[in-house]
Amino acid sequence: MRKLIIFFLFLFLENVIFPQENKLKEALFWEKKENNTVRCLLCPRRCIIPQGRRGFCRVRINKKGTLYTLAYNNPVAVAIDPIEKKPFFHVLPGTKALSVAFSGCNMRCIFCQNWHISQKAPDETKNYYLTSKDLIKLAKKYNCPSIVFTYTEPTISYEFMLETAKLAKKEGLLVGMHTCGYINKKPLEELLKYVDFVNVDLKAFSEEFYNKIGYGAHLSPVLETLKTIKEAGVHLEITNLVIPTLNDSPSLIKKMCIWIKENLGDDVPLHFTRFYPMFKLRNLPPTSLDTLKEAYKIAKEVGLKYVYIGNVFGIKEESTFCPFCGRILIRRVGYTILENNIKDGKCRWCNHRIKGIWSSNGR
Amino acid sequence: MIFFIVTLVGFFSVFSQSIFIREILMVFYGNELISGILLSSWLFFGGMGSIFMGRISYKIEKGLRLFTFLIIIFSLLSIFEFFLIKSLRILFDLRPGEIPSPLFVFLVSLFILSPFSFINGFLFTLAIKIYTERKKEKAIACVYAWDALGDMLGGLAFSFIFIYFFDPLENILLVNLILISFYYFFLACLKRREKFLLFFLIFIILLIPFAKRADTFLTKKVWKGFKIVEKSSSFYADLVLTKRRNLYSLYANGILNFSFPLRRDDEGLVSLVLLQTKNPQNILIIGAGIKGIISQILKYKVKKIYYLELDPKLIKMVKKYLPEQDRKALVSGKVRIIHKEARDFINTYKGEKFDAIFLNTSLPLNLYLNRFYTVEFFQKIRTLLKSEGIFTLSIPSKENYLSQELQDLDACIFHTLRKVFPKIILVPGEELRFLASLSGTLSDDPQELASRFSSRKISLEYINRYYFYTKFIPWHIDYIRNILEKHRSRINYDFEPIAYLYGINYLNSYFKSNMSRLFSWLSHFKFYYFFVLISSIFFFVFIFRKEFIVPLSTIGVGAAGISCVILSILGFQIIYGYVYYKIGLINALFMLGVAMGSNFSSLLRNRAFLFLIFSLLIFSLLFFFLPYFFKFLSSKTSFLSFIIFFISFWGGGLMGIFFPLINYFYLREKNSQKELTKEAGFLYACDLIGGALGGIILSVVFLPLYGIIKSCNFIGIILAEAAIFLYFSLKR
Repeated sequence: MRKLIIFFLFLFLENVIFPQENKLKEALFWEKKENNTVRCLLCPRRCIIPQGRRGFCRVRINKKGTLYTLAYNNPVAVAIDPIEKKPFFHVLPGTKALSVAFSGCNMRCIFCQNWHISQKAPDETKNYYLTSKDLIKLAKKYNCPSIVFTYTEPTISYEFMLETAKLAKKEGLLVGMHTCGYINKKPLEELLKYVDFVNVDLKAFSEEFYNKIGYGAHLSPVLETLKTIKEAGVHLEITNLVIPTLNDSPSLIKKMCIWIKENLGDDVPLHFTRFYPMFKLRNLPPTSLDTLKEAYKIAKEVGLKYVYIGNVFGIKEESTFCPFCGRILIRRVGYTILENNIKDGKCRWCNHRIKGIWSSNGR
Repeated sequence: MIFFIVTLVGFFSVFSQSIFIREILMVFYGNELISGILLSSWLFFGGMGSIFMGRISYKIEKGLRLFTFLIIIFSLLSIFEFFLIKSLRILFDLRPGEIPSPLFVFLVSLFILSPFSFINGFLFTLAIKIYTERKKEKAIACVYAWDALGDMLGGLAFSFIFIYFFDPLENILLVNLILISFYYFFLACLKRREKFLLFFLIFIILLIPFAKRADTFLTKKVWKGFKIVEKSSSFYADLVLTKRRNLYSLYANGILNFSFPLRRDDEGLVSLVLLQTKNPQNILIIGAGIKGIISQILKYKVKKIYYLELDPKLIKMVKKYLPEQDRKALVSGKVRIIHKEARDFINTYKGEKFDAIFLNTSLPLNLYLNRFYTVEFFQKIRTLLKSEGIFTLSIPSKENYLSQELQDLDACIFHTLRKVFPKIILVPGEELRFLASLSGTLSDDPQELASRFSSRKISLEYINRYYFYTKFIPWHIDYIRNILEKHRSRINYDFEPIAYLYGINYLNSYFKSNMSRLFSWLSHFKFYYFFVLISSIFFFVFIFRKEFIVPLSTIGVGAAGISCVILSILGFQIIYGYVYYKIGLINALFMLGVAMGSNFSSLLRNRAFLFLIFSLLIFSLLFFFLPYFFKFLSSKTSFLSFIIFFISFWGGGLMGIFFPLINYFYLREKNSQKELTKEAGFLYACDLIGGALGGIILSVVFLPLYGIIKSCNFIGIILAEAAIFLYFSLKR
């Protein structure tokens, strides 16, 4: 309790003593065009931004022909969560993760769980003032072996995330992100040199879904991102939020699972999470447990080894089973780990290697 | 005879508009703000129609022929608009469950409703023109009175009879049948035979047998992606029960009420609450108990569960589809389902106090729902609760970041609750759950709750002792509590419903709305600024454009009249509880007041000027006393409830007396029929626009921001100023 008070006091003092600088951080990955216009090359939207205007993400701004980012040293949310909440089920089970988010997003999902911050620009929210160094200090202070960029889309705080990941590596901390995967290959490859684990929201295996729900987004760049992460050898997990009527058709789920198996391998952990009425879809009922179990069954039948059901408490599909001997490896109940039978990255009983990051000093 | 037709048009327009508004709310999942906007746009375009007719009236020679033509257009439009509304979700490619922005709803509704409302206003002024050709003196008073009578009958017939027997499309066709057949009969009496009208009548009759099938087809399109299991209309709402896979969802007026079975959620909620009390025996559930929590509560070996559910039709509809465990729970003998409004129940309950009270109502998105989140309501709850008992409710939230809108809403409810309950525990999440008690042994320590859970030996399907570690994460609790404690929030009272405003702000923040900034700006406005503003407007109009004092006063009186209806409904709901048919009665009494007032005013003439001014001053004074009258009533038992109905009747009477008299004095020097119709149409428009503005400003801005006392004072000031300036501008 005392620690918590000190933590919040620390954040408060940081805000008061070191007020946010007015200096903007020049963005990475953009090119100059005629008439002081710039093209942002960070995400596949490739926004052409006229002088004084912002990109689709509301975060990158063109000032006199130079692209700056507004998401730098000003996270909107900083919290300590169980790493299972992100969800990462194959990364340091039972540990705490320092979660960080910046306002803004390069998607406009009508079911967003964090719409309060994702659908706002950084200058529309109350933010902390925290540098990368501060974050690392905080993570160490509160015994968090990892920092995770989450809640909103981490791509929009690319510069800050890259800087933090580089520093964290030196300090022996792991860095992860939960992303929608809507990022161009070049910036992603640069980032993956320093990031240890990634969870990609594969919203639906449908171009139409991305086009309508994501306001003109496309599925193929997300699939490209998944492949790039796999190629870079960075630990990857996938989340599929199952939304009634929008992406819960068994055939769509099967198609997705087959693609994952064929392109990423059968050992990529896949989380089917329950939709809860939210944001502009407040009038849609939640996903039934039967639908989630059906999706789980499909994924298993396709041959995926690590499939989970999330956002539902108290079911066996939250736990990890050894794909070789079938015995329970990690028994989870909500965010609590009751049993962990993985030793040195292998099943305790049959020695089968289990994909994941099981200790903070190695993969 | 023309009066009969005016009544018929009034009947038809209110009947059809009631269907349109219900359907738009269903299609767009609307709330009170949207229905307010729809009503206002209806009045506004009605006003525009009157002005337009007034301006072109001198060009019209064959008034009755035009009237006949417009009746057919009016009728066709009603059918066309109905189909258009039903197809909106398909036309605009809205996903199932997607809530469109209020601006979008406003613009689309405006586009759809405006032609119908416009013709309605046009017909009113045309009726005046036709009548003045015969008898100038009483024309306006009589047309006004008969129109009001038609409005009243249309509203009553739809709300109390037709809605229960027919589907919406059947209703539209039936009301068209009534309009056209009576109109044909009317023309026949005048010895005019319009063959086209007869064909049109036959066409409508032929359509009626296909209406049910067409309605079902269109409803399926609106609920694309879901199987419609059952639909029904009750006194309280249009109910639709849908199914997707094995999950049922109940929608009331297009808004998702609850889904079932969601066993894990029900087990979780009941455990969170009942583990906070040592030996729960007597439980009260306010709303949504049927979805599954009753069977979970019974696992805690309670003695009695009282479940308040206003709508018997809802229970009847849902019961059939419940899992066996939940269906059996309802007839276990320990459960009593009471079809009473919560306030009504609390006021009359004399039994044993409760160990736990679950409040399962929706967000305070309208004045009716706001009453469940006020100091007064929480105080009533306290009287029913044992000293160690638990009261629980939840509101939208987040555990990692609270936007300004969420901070306002969450902190308002938190501080309001804390004014009554000294002990409050927070359960953060997508919904912030409050567990409040007077002196209970509340705990947010997961270890303690886990041990309580184990010692009770409750056998559940999903929830176990580890659940509490998921719900009570110290970081999240401290983050939320820290924000709520520090946030300077206003307290929510019955007659100062600020949480309602915060609720609407929160909903609008989905759509990048600047409404919260506007309200924040307005909330810094000192109340006397409004007094200065209104006085200045009247003063400058009097000095520079004296002839506009009458229209300005008419707008003011129109606003005051509609305010009487809103205040009666609000007062009745707050003091006695929500009874739908009584609200219908309040509206009907308003219209009856208008009709009687108009008839009464037509008897007065020569000494009526002073009577008019004096009436306005008396009404103005009454508005100053009205809040104290409400407060007096709220401390008394319900036998005085009928008095509230008279406020509405009284408001109608004000309109009824004022409108014909002001027309008489304003138009007394205008002898040409051209001028007369033009100005009468203009004044009718002012009356409607006043109603539109008054309705929306009072219910959305004034009541939440300034409370009932200041709102009533404001209306009182408008009436007093109208009286004074009218006296000086019209006296001879």
